[in-house]
Formats: sequence, C-alpha cells, structure tokens
Amino acid sequence: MKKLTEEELATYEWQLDVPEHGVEGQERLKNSTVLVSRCGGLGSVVAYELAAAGVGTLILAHAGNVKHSDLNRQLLMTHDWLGKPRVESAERRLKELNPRLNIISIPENITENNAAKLVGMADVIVDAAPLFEERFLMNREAVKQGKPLVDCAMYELEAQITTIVPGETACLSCLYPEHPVAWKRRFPVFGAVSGTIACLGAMEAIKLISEFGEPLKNRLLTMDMRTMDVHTIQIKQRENCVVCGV
Amino acid sequence: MNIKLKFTAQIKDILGRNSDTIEVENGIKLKDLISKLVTRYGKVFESILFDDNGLYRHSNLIIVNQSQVNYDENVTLSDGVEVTLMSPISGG
Ligand SMILES: [Zn+2]
Repeated sequence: MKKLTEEELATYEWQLDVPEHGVEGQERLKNSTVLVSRCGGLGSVVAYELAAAGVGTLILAHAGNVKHSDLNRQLLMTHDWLGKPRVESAERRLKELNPRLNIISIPENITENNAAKLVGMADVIVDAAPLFEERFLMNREAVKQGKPLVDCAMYELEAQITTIVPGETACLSCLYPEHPVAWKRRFPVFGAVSGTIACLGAMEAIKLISEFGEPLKNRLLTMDMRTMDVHTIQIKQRENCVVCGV
Repeated sequence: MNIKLKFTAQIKDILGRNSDTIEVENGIKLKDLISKLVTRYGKVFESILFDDNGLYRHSNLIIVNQSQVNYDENVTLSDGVEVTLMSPISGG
C-alpha cells in the first residue's frame, strides 16, 4: 500500500483528525479506485468530493459533449467547454483541485459492453446514472463481483440513497424488481438537490473505503427538500431477486 | 380509523399532492387500502401501480411507517399508521 507523502499529509491535515479515519484511513483512500457514472448533476459532485478527500483513482464514465442545459447542475462542466467532451471537462476540473489524482476517463455511459470491465476495475461504485438500464447493469455487476455500490438518485426536490453490499444487503433489483414504467429521461432538477445527495454518496464511499461509521446498509435514506423531511427506511432483500437471490 | 398517506415522485405528480388522509374500516389490509386508493384517485394512478393484467408493479415501493413492505405480504394496518407510496427515481 502506498504511503502518504508530506504534501498529502499537509493537504488532508484537517480530515486526518476525524476519529476512526486518521492516517490509515487516508492511506486506504489513496490506494482506492472508485467508479462514478455518470458525471452529471450528481456524479460531478461525487467525483469532486472524492477528489478533494484524496481518493487515489477515479474512473469516470460519461458520454457526450457539454451542453448549455448541463450547466445548472453538472459542476464539472463549464461554459468555456461547451461542445467539447464532458469527461475532458471533468478531468480538467478535478486535476485543478487535486493534481495527484489518477483519472481514468471513459467517454461512454455504462452499457452491457463495458459494465463488467469498469466495475471490475473499481473497489467501490457510485451509481449516479439517469437511466435505470445503466443502474441495473452496475448493480448486477457489483453483486456478481462482490463490490459495494452506493446508489444515489434524485427527482425534482426529492432525493434518496442506499448502500448495497453484496451478500449483506438488498440490491437495486430487490428494491425495483421490474422495469420502472413511469420514469422519464428528462427530470426536473436543481443542482443543489443533486449536489446534496451527491455529498451523501461521496461520504458513503469514503466510509466504505476508510472503514468507519455505519453505511446505509439495508436502509434507504429519503429527503424531500421541499419540506425538508428526511427519513431512513428499512428495506429488505427479495427472496426471488434475479440478481442477488439464492 | 384514519391512515395518513404520502406520495413521492411520479405518483405525487399525478395526484397533484404529496399527502392525504383516508378513513377506512378498522384492521384494513394493505391490498384493500390500495384498492380504495385506486377508486379514489382513478385510472392514471391505477396504471402506475398496476400493469394491464392487474398485477402490482413491485417497483413502486410501499412504506408503512419507516419500513418497506411487499404488496403480497398484505399486512394489516392499524389506526394512525403512515403509508407512503414511492415511485422509483433515477435522476442523476
Ligand atoms: Zn437483489
């Protein structure tokens, strides 16, 4: 395991003081790889927080070029990068913050062709995709390969998050055993909503890697930012789940 | 007895409200409650919760107080419980 350099010890000084994290936890972050897909309103902020926290390697998967309509929430995309690849914009912004960060950027969304490979390269997956098809693929591969997956999602002023640990918790297909029919590709969003749930997702990933605290295992945290109601719901594995059922 | 209802995402959008209260007979079962809601809220609501064959779409989560329950468990509901119907979200 790679040790922290003097520069890293100085950079992370204030978070090294977090009980149960410390130098050992920070070294675990440095030696870890996290897959984030996509890097939109949610994934951008997940990636930014993980880069700030000192995760060693980020795998970013996101297709397409920056558009005007990305800029209200996709905080790794900037006006000067309009029309150019999103992952390049993300990479450039993350490197400004943390030049030590190793980034593997894939200008593709998660598909049947890349899901197994990308999940296989990561220690932890943070699922921030706008389509259930992509989420179900990452979930299936995470369960198959025994990798923890933090599933964050939002809609309008609502948001939710759960942490899936294969063998211990319900998976995404336990929660949603059938293809959701009502979901539409375009959803109402403020960046502050996707960013809020993204910060929770980044914190879950940090806890899983550094090994402290209590991740949201078999718990679905829900927030309604219209009313500021926050709940933690007990969820359960589905006996006949096609992904994780025995 | 009264049951407090809460709705999220697309279900909330269709109903144009995020909560309601319904008076029901004592010891009502979950499936009977859902049937009452279909009568009360109409066809579009029904089409979110049930497929063309009348089977429940299990991706709509049912939360009783703070715990998820499966539609098929058909739990008995007691006075004052809060039932939340959550339609799945995937915004990123
Ligand atoms: Zn499952």
